Amino acid sequence: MMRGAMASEWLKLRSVNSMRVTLPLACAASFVLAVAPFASDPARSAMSAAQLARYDAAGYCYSGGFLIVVLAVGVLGTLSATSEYGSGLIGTTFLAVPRRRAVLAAKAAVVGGAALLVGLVLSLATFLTAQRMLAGKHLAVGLGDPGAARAVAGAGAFLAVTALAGLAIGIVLRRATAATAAFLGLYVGANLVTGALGGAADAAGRWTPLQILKGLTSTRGASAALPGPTAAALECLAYLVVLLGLAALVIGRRDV
Amino acid sequence: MAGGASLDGMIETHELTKRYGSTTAVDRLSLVVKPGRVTGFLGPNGSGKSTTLRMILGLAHPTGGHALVGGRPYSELRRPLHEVGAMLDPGAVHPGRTARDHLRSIALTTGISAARVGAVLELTGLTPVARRRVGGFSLGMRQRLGIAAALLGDPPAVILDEPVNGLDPEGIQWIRNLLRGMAAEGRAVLVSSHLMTEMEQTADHLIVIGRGRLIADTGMAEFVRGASRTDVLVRVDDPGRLASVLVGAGGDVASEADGALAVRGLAPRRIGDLAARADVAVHELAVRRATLEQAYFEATENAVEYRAGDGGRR
Ligand SMILES: Nc1ncnc2c1ncn2[C@@H]1O[C@H](COP(=O)(O)OP(=O)(O)OP(=O)(O)O)[C@@H](O)[C@H]1O
Ligand SMILES: [Mg+2]
Repeated sequence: MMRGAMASEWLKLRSVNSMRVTLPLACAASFVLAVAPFASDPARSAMSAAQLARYDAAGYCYSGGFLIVVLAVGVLGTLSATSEYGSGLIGTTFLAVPRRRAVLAAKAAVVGGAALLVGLVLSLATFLTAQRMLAGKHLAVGLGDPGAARAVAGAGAFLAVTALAGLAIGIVLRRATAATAAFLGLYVGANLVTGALGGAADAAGRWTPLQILKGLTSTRGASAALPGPTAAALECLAYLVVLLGLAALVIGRRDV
Repeated sequence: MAGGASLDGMIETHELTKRYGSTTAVDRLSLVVKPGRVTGFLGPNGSGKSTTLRMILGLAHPTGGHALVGGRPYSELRRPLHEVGAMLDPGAVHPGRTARDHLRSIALTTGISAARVGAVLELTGLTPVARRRVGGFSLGMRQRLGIAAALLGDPPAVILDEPVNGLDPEGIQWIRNLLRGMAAEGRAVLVSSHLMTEMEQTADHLIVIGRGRLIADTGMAEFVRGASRTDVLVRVDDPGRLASVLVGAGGDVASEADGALAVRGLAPRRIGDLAARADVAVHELAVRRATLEQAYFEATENAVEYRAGDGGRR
């Protein structure tokens, strides 16, 4: 039954335009905006020693433009749940697979898997393109350089985490507007708050999703507000356990 | 499903109850839907029909009691689409998906073949629009799509909530034949509708509920016969004389506008005998059967009366 449920979720995911159009568009926009700034970075010879020490040829691939695909994938994740609740299709889904946690598991596997694949391809493409642009400036790093491969994998995995967080939020809240608002609140709003509070909110700042992404992809070390890669990965795990746990709890208890 | 054959297609509820806050949508409802016949599920708006069906199908959790499909709770069915097919809400589709993809996404969960998807599309007349997005479908086309989904697993039982809504006359006739055909094949068919004339032609058996409670669980003919509106029309040369004779014999006599008598409480044969004995010439004697609609109004009206008087004191 699990295989059938996954096949069904996969078909549902790819047979609507929001996925077929929005996701490629978001990936393209994200890619272009992520690599473009590297063109205007100064060459190695024009940088001071301090600038050079800060310069993160791998991590910079996943700030800025990459956030577009992060937000898009998260919103699409919420949509994969809320569109079914909104239309009532979730009832049809539960008729075919009455064990509702199996439905959640199938959705999570498909949505998370697809986001992971897209994320890894996009993060690698972004990294390789950026390094090619930096080669002439003698700033490029390779996948073998310290932290680089981890940054690429971390960025890709973060997209999967984001899609799953969106899915879980969508299942818990059911309504598209509420779920989108909650997701954006968590991903954007939280950063605005901790940013405004400054140093006082450093401990909380380490837990905001965008700091987690930075922690996963930075090759220039952690700080008070920035978790290290291992801490960031554990924080991702904690988010998934809490959000998907909540979704698993409510999906079975509620009427449809 | 070894040994379960006898329960195939059987749908039953035991003391099924659903409360939403202070409203009791379904009130200790026990019923059995048997294979081999079309069971009509009737009741006024808000009487709890859809809620009952949702509980049978595991979509709503009962406050009390339980429901079984083929002897098991829906949530424990291993291949639910092959046990019971259901259509509750024809609007429950993603507008951006094609009809074929909608059905395929359901079929995939339980390994139903693409050929079967094509077959139910053909059966419901949707083949020409199979690759069109459902968002552009009319209500009737969505009904057909919902019915197609219910038939995917070739189940021994089907549950349809108001399936004729929005269907054109050809579609209504089609679904009547479809349901009768399925019952003839030995399947259990449970169908709700507010269209009494249609139900009268389709159903063999009736379950009538009012305010969540069972009012009647009986054969169609029996239900209609039980209605007090069944009467005998008598046309005679001297209506006044016969009327007093019939009243004297315990009949309930009313005069029609054209002078004919409408008699209740006396069998046609007895009316004829009484007329002969009174030396009244009978020109016409006809049993006028109540329609399902009349019988339904009587049954549910009584229930509403009973509930209204009862409701204040609860
Ligand atoms: N999710 C819900 N929350 C609160 N009340 C509900 C809910 N679903 C149904 N009800 C109430 O339960 C009662 C029965 O509703 P239901 O939809 O089962 O009636 P129905 O017999 O199908 O009516 P109709 O003929 O109009 O389709 C109604 O009073 C309705 O308001
Ligand atoms: Mg209803």
